[in-house]
Amino acid sequence: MLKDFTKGLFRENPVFIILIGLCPALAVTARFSSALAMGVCVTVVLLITGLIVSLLRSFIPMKFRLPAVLLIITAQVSVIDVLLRAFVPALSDGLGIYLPLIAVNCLVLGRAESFAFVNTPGRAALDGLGMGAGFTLALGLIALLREAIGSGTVSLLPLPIAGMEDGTVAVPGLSAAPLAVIAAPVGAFLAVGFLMGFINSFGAIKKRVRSLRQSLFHGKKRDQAESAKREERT
Amino acid sequence: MSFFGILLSFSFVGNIVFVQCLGWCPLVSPPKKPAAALGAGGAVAFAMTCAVLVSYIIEKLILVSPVLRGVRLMIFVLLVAGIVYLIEQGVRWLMPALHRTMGAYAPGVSANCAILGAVFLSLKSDFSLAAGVLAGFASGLGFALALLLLSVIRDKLERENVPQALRGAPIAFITAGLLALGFLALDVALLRNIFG
Repeated sequence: MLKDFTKGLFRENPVFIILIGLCPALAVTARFSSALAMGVCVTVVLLITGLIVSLLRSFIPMKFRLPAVLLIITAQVSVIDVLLRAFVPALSDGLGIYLPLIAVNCLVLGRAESFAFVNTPGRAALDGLGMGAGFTLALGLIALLREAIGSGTVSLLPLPIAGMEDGTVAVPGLSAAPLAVIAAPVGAFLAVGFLMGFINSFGAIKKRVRSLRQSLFHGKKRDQAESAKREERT
Repeated sequence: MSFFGILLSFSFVGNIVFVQCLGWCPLVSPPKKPAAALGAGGAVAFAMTCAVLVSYIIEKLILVSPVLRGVRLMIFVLLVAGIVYLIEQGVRWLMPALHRTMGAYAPGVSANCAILGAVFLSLKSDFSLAAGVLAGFASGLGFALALLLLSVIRDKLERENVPQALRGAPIAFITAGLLALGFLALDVALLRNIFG
């Protein structure tokens, strides 16, 4: 059960590993605060969609699966859109057209179709929560890099709390001469590309260390036998 | 804005793929053949034009009452999904060969995000009907151009010796970043100076 939650964080991270939900990861990561807000919105939608779709999965005919899921998601996004516009108009302006576009986000649609339709409500909710957390983590990482380099600041709070506007902190050394091109869409593509490459190389190193440790601890003979078995299987 | 200005600003200056960052889920692995990329791009451009046309009429004629504004998003999402479905069926029926080469790129659910984005961008600009539809078509043109560029570059990259960790999606994104740098060079002020 717990695995349904944790797999979304790293091993099946939606942005870096499965490569879905990329539009918001590229478009709203120029500021950390808006990336955080987008992550929270998507997590809420993922959680509720997972629950509802999983509860209704035996009542929805195969033919109307896509329109039904679209309606379930869009209803939530409409409510979130209205609430944000009424209570935090600045945030609503910052997210722009990308907030209503959550309604056709590949991540939400994909999880509903591939996970919530074949699993129990509890597991679907955990999966939605985990995927949302992984998505927020990825967006936060990209936005932190982009805002620090591109504008020389980090805006920490999506909502004005306790009198602080958005909790903007200047990065020493970078705020004097930020690299403005990183805040443009260019920076989004480069940041996502290089972070993905970094994560890939990290995974490759981890795999090599694991095989090295295996051969050290279990002796060479057993390692050879294992690799032979693996080759047979493939 | 003149019609030529709308065409330029929606296909290049505000390119839906490289500047608005939309429609990336299908673009991570673009089709290998340029012909398939052009076919898929054309279908998406057609879908965008139709979607903007219908949604403009709905927005101006039906969604005028404030009570109905709440279901605006729902109507547009279902509208785009319906148009994409119809076009996919149409392509399968009229040009089965093209449909086969496009494979998963038959503009399925995956391009929805770009099409809905084009609808919102065009409606946000408060154009007349003709200008709005032209903006939708220009967005589609920009998408087709991006798809073609990415598919040709992918074809070339596969023969290059890319570092192991960057193979596949990472190098595609870095390439896209460099392409986006090119699109950054075209900005509204420059076009104003040239075309008045």
